[in-house]
Amino acid sequence: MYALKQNAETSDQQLIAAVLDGSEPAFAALIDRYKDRLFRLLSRYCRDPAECEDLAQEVFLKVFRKLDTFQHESAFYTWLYRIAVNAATDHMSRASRKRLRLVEDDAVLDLGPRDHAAASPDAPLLRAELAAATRKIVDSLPVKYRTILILREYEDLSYTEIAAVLQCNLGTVESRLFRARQRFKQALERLHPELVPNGPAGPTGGPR
Amino acid sequence: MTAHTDERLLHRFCDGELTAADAAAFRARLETEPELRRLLQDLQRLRTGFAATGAAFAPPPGFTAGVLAAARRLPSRAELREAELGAGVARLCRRLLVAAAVLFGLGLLWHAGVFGEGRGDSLQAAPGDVQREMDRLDVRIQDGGATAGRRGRGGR
Repeated sequence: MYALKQNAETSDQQLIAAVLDGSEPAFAALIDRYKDRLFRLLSRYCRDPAECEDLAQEVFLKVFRKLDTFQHESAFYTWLYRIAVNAATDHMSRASRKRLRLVEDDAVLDLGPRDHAAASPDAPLLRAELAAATRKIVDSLPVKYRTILILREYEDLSYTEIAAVLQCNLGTVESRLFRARQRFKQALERLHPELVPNGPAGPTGGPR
Repeated sequence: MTAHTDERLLHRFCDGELTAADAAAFRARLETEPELRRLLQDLQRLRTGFAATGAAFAPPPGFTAGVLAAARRLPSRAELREAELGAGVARLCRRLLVAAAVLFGLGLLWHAGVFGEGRGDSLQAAPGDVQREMDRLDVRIQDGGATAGRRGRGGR
């Protein structure tokens, strides 16, 4: 058994070497180190905590099985994110085969047009509505746009980190993110013109 | 600079992806170009929906223990490697068998003369048939020579 004194300073590389040597505490330390981040990422793909937990467990088990193939060419968390994004994407396609979800469902349409003429995006009500609409629209986007928006906007990854997770080049990241934001804006304009900045009925709309 | 290039630059600026020098140059442009400033504000407002999204799900107590228990039930890494190797060999054998079956089927079809160039057109024939065919060709050659001679004389 690999003897390892685990503390906050123990590097990922040391933990990985210990796990590969059969150390269960090292694997536990690795899980503890990344479970919060993983849950945060998977929350953007899942609707309920149980689904999120199942998916997170699936990801960590995949990590455990495939750890000997990790090349240390990128940071461990980008490798973990790659596995998580792939698992979430597979999960979504499995789920969508079970039940076709309509893009323009419940809350997005239920919000309906409201008078935000005098409201600012900082107003709590508008922020909550914008957040709900944002989540719904992101959920409805094609998976490649959804993923890149999640990685950039929710996970705050840099272009380089996103490129490492998605295994593509920086140019692809930039152009895909640009297109994803355009698609997002178009959907927001279509579904919630009142929430679009400087849109026809937007909070700062009107003649410029 | 085109509007499209400006927009891309704007996104990179917003994402903190410009170098310090490029970011400073862009800030200077923002001071003097109201349209660019408006685009920046639009993008920033559009992104507020992401910032306002509620908290993510948190790992429940006992999550780590649960994963470890599930990992204990997995076959060991050596067993997994063996299983993968076995699966790889089985896959290869399956492919070879399919290829052999396809080749065998094609051979049977060729043998049956389905492709035209097969055994049906071979030179295997009874000696009597060969002789008859040779005689027929001789007659045609002789007829052809006589006809050519007549044409030659008639042409003069």
